[in-house]
Amino acid sequence: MAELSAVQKAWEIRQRFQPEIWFSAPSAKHYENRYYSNHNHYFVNLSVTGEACACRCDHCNGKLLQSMIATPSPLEMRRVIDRLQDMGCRGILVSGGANSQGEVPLLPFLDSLAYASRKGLKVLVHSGIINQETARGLKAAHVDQVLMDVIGDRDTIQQVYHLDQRPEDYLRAMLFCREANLNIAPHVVIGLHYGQIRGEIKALEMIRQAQPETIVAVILTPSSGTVMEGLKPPALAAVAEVIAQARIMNPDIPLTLGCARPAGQYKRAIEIRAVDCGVNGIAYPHEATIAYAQNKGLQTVFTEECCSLIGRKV
Amino acid sequence: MRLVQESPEFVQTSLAGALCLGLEKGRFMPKSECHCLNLLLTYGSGCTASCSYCGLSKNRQEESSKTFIRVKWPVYSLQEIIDRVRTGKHPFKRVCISMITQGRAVEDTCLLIRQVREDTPLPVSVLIAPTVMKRKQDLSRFKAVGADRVGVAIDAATEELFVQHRGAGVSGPHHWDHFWNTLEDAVEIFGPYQVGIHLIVGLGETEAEIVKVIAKAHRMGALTHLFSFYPESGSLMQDCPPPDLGQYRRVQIARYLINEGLADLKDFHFSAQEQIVDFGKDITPYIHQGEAFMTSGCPGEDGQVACNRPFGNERASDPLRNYPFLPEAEDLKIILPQIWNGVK
Repeated sequence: MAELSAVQKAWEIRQRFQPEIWFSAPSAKHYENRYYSNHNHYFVNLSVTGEACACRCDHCNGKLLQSMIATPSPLEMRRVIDRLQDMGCRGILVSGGANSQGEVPLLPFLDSLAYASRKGLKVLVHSGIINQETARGLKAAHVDQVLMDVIGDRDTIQQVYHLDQRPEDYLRAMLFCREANLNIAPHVVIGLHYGQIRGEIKALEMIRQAQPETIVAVILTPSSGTVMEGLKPPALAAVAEVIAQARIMNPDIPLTLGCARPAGQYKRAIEIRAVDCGVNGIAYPHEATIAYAQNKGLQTVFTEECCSLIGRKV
Repeated sequence: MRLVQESPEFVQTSLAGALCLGLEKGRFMPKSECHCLNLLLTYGSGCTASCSYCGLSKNRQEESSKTFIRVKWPVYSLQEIIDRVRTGKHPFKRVCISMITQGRAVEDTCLLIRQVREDTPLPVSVLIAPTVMKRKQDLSRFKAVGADRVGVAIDAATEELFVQHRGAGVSGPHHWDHFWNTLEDAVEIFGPYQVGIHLIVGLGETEAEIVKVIAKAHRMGALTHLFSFYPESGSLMQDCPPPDLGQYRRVQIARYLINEGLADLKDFHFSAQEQIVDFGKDITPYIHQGEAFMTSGCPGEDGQVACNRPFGNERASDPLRNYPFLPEAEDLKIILPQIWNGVK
């Protein structure tokens, strides 16, 4: 009998989960189609450094911060939280630019994060490389989940992120969170090394050791005005292989295809492949993907929280 | 008495297709290779419709060396084409069988789909002729014999233009409602976004009118594939100019944003002349990516566009309207200044 391909194996493994797929559409992006329409202000991104960032990674150069609400002081953050709650907000994703160690400076904001949590908001934090003190602080502030990119190749960390860290530092960061009993949703950025597949499998191996709540696969999507602008995205088949491996290596951990993906036909094509590879959720899917998933026998469910929280639903 | 070579044994194929199969002499620049093999049904009696812009129209004046989209579509036996495809020495990722409005078209299309699917590994689309079809019944037959995608050439963006160019205005047999109802049936039978409509920019519609139709089709579950009108000699519209290049670019961008779920029609702003003046968001990253200016068409199994219709909208010496490949930096330098041309 012919051996199954990685994608086929991945689909087999998916059968352990319920035959449903979660589609996320948090309000960072307006999402409207024949299946679903999201609401403004339900789930919003905040930046604790405004548009400032010391890292200036080759694929972002701080551009991503421009789309977030700036809350550069704890007081500002509390004011924004109050306003957002009046508008019906259900949750926040708190991120920001990183310092030269690759850390988002979250310590001054712990009280404000706790404030958001007390007000009934879901609080997610995208932390960069996190140290033990910050991890414990986030747990004490009742943060719901910590998101972080995990990079498995030293050259990528140095050349793309301009950091002196090593892959092991990302594993350590995840373990600090787990030791503090924090839920984590590590992100694998497929093609991060200028469109090539390099440290993704190593990243997945480290992630497996950390037993996360959800694993999020995203794809290099360089912002305009960066060194990587115009770069061809990684080949569809290679990306599918990584997603399939993520599924195979973590048969019981929910896996999602996150929102960072090149737009257009590529996005549509990779979403279809991700469904085939057995992901449990996709952020902002094209309608064709929804129809495809339904045809594969999956019940489709919508949520307006970040896809990293799908781990709780599955 | 000359033996007429007719479908299903014979088909016409595009010059691009014939070149790529080695059936005609000539060469394509590698970037402009044709990735969809287009097979057009052919009959001695021709197409029974009379669309004003079309080279196949029965009203067409020229008798000899008929062209369609400005080039010859040579006739070959289906068997010869299939034999060539089976050698594997071709760049095709899909086959499209195009119907014409003729009584035998449905039966012959079924035969062609079946034979292509039996003898080659390529997926098959059908460009349907709703006027000669029993909607759901015939669509289901096409699916049953192996087609996985369908195109509906609505072509005209408004009912008024449709009637003028394809219906009563040219004593033609086509009806607007029937085309849209057939589109709805196609989405039901083939699945959402497995269906596309063809629209021709430059038949007399405004930008607002065509963008509304693109959004309507998208809501119904159909993508849009754009064509830029080019006057076909001998046709009723032979003296009409192509649409302004800026107009075409704006409609291309709108099509891309709507079909990829990147923008909402309700956020667009139009001028008093119904030209697009604003897309409601910053489109810079999307237009720099280039895909908006590529030919939109049915994909191959790899998810990338197969039906790239090289030089389908202009002569090789004219500015490219639909790029048959993803535009690169030097192409974008040419395209970007064209976008807001002609906005009053």
